[in-house]
Amino acid sequence: MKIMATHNIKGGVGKTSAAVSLAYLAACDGYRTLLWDLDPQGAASFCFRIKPKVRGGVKSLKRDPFSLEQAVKATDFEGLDLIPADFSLRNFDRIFTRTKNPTRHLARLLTPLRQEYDLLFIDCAPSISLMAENIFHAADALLVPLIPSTFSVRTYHQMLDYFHKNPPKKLQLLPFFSMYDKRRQLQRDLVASMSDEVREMLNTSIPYAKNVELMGVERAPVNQFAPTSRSAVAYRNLWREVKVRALDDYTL
Amino acid sequence: MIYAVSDKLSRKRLKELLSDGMDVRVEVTDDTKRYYLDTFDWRLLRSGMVLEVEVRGGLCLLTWRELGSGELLLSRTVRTLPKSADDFSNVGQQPRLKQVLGRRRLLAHASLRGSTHRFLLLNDDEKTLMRVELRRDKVISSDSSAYTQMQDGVYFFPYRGYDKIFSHRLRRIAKGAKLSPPTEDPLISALAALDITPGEYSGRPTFSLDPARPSIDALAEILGRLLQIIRCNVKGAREDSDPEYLHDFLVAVRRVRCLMSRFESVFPEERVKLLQRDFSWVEQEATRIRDLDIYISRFEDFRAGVDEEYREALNSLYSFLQGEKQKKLWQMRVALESSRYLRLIESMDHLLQGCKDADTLPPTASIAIDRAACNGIWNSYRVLVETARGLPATPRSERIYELHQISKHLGYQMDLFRSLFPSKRMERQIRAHDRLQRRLNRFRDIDLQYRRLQSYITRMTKAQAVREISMEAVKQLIADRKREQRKARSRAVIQIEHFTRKKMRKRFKSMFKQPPKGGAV
Ligand SMILES: Nc1ncnc2c1ncn2[C@@H]1O[C@H](COP(=O)(O)OP(=O)(O)O)[C@@H](O)[C@H]1O
Ligand SMILES: [Mg+2]
Repeated sequence: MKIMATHNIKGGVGKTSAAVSLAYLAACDGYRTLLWDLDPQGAASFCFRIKPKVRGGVKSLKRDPFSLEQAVKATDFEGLDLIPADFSLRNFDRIFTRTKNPTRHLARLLTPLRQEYDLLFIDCAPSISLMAENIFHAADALLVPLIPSTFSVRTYHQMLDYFHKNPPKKLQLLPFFSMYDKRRQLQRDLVASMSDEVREMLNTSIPYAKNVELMGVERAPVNQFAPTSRSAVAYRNLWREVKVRALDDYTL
Repeated sequence: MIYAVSDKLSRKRLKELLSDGMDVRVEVTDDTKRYYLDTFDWRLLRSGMVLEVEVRGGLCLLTWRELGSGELLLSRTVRTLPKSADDFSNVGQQPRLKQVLGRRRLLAHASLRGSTHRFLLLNDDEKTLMRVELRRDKVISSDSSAYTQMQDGVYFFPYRGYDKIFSHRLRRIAKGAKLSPPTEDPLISALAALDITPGEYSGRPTFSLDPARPSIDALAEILGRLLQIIRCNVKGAREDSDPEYLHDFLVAVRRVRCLMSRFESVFPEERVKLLQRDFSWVEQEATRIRDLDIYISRFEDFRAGVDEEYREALNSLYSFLQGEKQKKLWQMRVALESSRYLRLIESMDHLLQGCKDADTLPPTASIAIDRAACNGIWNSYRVLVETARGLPATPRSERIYELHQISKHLGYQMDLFRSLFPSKRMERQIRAHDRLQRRLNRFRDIDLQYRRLQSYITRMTKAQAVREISMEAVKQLIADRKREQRKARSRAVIQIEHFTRKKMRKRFKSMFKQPPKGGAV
């Protein structure tokens, strides 16, 4: 099982939209896909019409890693399952801080699911926290949506600094531009300069588009309800690029 | 989970039962196309599984379920129909499927057309919690000229994480609509409608023979079964829908030839001679393609044998082999459709019919089969020992080919007559022989590849302009085959020595030289 996580220290940059879309496209491609909604706010679960889970909560995971398996729900789409968000996740850091190897918990929890799925997408809550460190440890690739602004350039560099100090074992960084408004000169300039400067930057950027916002209204992936829209095409291209870059069984 | 509908279950009633106060969405497809996939020898079916594909809007919905119970093993959308287990790599390495299918191809055995009503049970978020399908299908004959209406079926699809509501609604509907499990799986009904009887087939039939039976009788039974295998595979072999058809066809032909030559004296002499000549011709035609099939199916291993930068360049060899196969296939098709072939099968039938008529048979025909089998096996083994005597460390290929041939005959007899001997001891001898045969087969395959490559390379350059790098790649491959050939040769020699050593000779002697007690005439 390959693990990919959407991550950014900031909120509202398109992490959830990307996780939902890519997980859906992966399943359409025949990969057995699981999406884990790790943001207590549960936006990804909402998009798939799945209620957040409350019983037991994150504490039970500490006792019995197999309870994660029982939390899995099928979405309405063939080949795509989801672990719903849980409000108790907000206590993750507090519960796991004082354990041995506090950054390895997530990886261990996933063991029973490894044979069942080809791909796991994790939709992260914004922040750098113990939970995020756990994800950096478990994941193979980190999808980082960046809004073309000077601030997000700085955020990205901060993230790189963090990884320089705490080098992860295998993590591949896959930043891409999100909510890109081509009409704005400033954004155009920034995208051009960043693409040169950051070598790992993906070529596809996700445009600022109404249809992405509509995912929260339609409660379905944009590629399902508006498959020919600009944003759906963009997510499809993004997925194609991610496949080539992060899945070694895939060649063009 | 599958249920048959006995009384006419109205869609309205089904919707009511499923709903029980919740929302139900109905989707209707008026022309669903479904196929049942399996290997030519029904490997899935025989392991109790069904692979069904529904073509819907350019996508294929794949359902892998258990036979009878309809228990879902996998359900996935894919873009193209899978051709073999390899095509499932994206769908997660399904080791179970791979184990069952091996390298065999998946073929569409039955096609269905019909209408499907899909009922989705929704919660207040309009999330689907389960799905029920009412299917009304027709089975279409392979030439699309006729169809048979199938019994209506209700299919239940659970969604992970919503088990409770699933079992509740399942019970409710089963009771309310008086559903009963179908008496047989829809796949079986579909095949019955098409007059296909699966599962009977085995490329390696086993026989339990009465030791006292007159040998002509027992041999006629065995030959009859082999002829059946030849008949059932000839079409698939001609069409090349799966290389395994040809394989089974060829093995059966070889076994027939082996029995007729080993037990020549049991049959009317003149007729057997003619049959032998024609079977030998069929074998030749088929062997050429089988060798190419082995080549093509293991091509990736060959690639691994050359340096990385040359692997790509082997593509021209690959297409050359494919082209070669098409040519030979065409030749074989002509042969297997010829009146000579049809006459051969007919005369074989005749011969077997005649075996019941004691007057026309030579006196040797009435010797008990266990005695005849002992003689046959013992003689073959003796010839093998003779031929292997004084084998040098690196014998010439021809010598190993000869041993290969004798050993094959020995193996066929041991396998076909195994029921006549104490099973434990027999198994041991068969295992020992298998080891030898594998080594000999490997040597033969590699040696042939090595020799043929030399001629291919000349013919390739004659037929088309071949890039320098491709030539180099093929040369590397030849060198690699040469190395492998050397290895295979010495391994074969070791195994031959092992199989003809004193202890082994003693065992063969004690088992086969003296006719076993009882049964002897
Ligand atoms: N490309 C886009 N164009 C327009 N709106 C977007 C786009 N991407 C995200 N949004 C909207 O922005 C908000 C935050 O997006 P979301 O994907 O939830 O980000 P995050 O998970 O990083 O918080 C949501 O309302 C979403 O609909
Ligand atoms: Mg989010």
